[in-house]
Amino acid sequence: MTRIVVDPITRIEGHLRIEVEVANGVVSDAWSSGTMFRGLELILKGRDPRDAWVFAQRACGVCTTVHALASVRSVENALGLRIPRNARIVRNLIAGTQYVQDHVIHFYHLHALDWVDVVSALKADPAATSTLAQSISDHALSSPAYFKGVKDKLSTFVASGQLGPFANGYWGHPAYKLPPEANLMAVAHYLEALDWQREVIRIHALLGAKNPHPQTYVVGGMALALDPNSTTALNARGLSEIGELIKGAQAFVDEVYIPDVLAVAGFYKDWAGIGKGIGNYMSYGEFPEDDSGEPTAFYLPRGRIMARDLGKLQAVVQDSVAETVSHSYYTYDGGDATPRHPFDGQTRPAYAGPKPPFETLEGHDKYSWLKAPRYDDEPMEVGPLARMLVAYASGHADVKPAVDGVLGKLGVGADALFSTLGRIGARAIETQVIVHRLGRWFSDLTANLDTGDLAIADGTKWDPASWPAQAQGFGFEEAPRGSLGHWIKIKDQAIDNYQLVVPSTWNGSPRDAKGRRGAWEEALIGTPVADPAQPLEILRTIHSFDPCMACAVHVYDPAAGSSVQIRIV
Amino acid sequence: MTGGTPPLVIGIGNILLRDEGVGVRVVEALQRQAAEDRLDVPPGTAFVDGGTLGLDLLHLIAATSTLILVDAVGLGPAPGSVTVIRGDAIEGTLAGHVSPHQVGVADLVAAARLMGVMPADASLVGIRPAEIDIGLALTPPVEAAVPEAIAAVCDELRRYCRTGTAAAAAPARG
Repeated sequence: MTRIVVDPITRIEGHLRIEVEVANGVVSDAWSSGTMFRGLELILKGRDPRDAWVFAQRACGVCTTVHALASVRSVENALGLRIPRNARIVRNLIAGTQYVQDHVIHFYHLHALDWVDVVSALKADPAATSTLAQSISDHALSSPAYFKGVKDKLSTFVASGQLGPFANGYWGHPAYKLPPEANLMAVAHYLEALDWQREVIRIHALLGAKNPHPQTYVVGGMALALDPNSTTALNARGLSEIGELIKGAQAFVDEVYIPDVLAVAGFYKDWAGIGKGIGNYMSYGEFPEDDSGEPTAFYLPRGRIMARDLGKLQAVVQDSVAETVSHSYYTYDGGDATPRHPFDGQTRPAYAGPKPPFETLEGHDKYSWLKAPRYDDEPMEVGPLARMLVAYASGHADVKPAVDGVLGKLGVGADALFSTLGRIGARAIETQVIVHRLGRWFSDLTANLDTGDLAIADGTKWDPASWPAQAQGFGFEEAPRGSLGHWIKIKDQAIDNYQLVVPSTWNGSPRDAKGRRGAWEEALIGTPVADPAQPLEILRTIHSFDPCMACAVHVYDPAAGSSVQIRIV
Repeated sequence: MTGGTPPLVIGIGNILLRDEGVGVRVVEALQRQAAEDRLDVPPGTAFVDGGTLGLDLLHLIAATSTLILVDAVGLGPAPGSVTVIRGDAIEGTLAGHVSPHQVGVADLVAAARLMGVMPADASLVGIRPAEIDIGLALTPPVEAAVPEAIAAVCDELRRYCRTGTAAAAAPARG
């Protein structure tokens, strides 16, 4: 038996450590460990609830907007506020744009390099690459001269010795299956995606007043002046620019991202049988399409699928979320194995791992800074696959045909969805569905503004004197990475308790009080590992979840790792 | 000025982690001083709080010809030491502890270079952190280094914008 430690496995703002045991060339057991303590809850205590989102959005460098939204929703829920129609639609546009940008960036800049061998692209024939590209898409940039230019650029870059984003790759690993031409095409689109994303994010700059870090959220709606006829507000000209940016995003997703995912998937169909995971999927639902606030009006539905049974869609209510810390570096009043609902959540760090530096977490009952969230005591997988499965099971008018179409093109059954490849496919399908829905929300917004309704915030509860002495609320959101919940308790106009249960805590959860693995841990079981020194296959499955430990764990713990220089940027 | 675009100063870091957020804190101070017209910098200089964002900042970098990054870096003899790195050396300084193909500030700079949009006139003003731990306030030695970091940013801006790239070959301080 070989024990492999992958640390760090994710971005530098937060640390994730994966330990696996490999027997007979496949993973036989796995442990997911967040190596940093999250302290946002402690920073928020005692502060003005109306300011919570400003701090919350700093929790994560990748998803600033999602924490802002979950936070204002939690306060609005506590105070019983209903936001105006314009605010609802603008929030959908910001969140939907985030899905599209985030998913495309994840595929090309984080995940594609697990499947695309950059060095092999240097062997590609540009003319054959052009033929391949034209056979799968009408995308304009596809001439032999174009691919020759990309190949030359890549050669120069590799020859410079400073590989940048391509450093540390397992180039030449036997698990890479794409022919050189497919690799070159993917590298070309990697570069195009870099260019594309800086265009699409302009939607956030227009709606968020400032990019990065949108400034326009406010408890009760949005702090954004919208008026087609004004010279100072976001006016007809700004709105028309947003419309054009959405069209450009649609073209890129339809002509580049989707064909690429299908082409790459065609070479890796064996990964439809790897990375199965827990088989329980949850979505809080997202994108309200009327002003009732009811989940039944969400574009992507709320629901749960248990034990991969797509025939039975089950309910989700916030009361059923609870966390245990039997295997986490915390203590609870009343026992670590007793589930605590987030309203009564406690954040009391108690490191109980090995003294650093250490080689393995083996033999330690407690092994992570992540708590173990459970729904009705069951572990859950969250994220694009969970959302698409819940929508699929609900017979969603756009998602069902899109999923069936992809399964048909790849010639695989619905069982293929429960896999590493399924997560990649679901993320692409979701991007396509949402980028097209952005057009609808945009029309809804302009149509509503045309009626003369310019209201964008409900200020009736702005004055804390209007609040009850005590209040509590929750803000649910489906962030790009999955189900995000903020729970707030307000006492005497200040935050009394604030708890976050973020997507990467659901997916990266350690074992619970009953010893059941979290989503990543379970998904790794059975993953083949050709070369323990180059665990590319482990990265493939973990990256298929789009892990974001910046979100799940925030604060570097000096007791659990190396020194301050761990982040020298 | 080597290009027609106003210079850009980006502060990087997580303000929830004390000294980790020093880059952002320096930029906030620069923004205040600029608003009060107390800064001797090229007209139109933009000061951006970059937080912990990575590629989301690419569109800003692509649109400027003079770039100053301000960040906590593990360089210099003591907490609060201010170090200036210029040009190609920036990438090497940033590319420390990054796992396989992750996206962060190091990759932001690498991606900008790969795309050919990394300004030739670029500096990193680094401040050595004392403590990276939960909290919003800087530690005293790092707080005390903020004026020096501000002066370093202004020096870099004047260097590029008054005399062009030739002066960038002068030795870096720190």
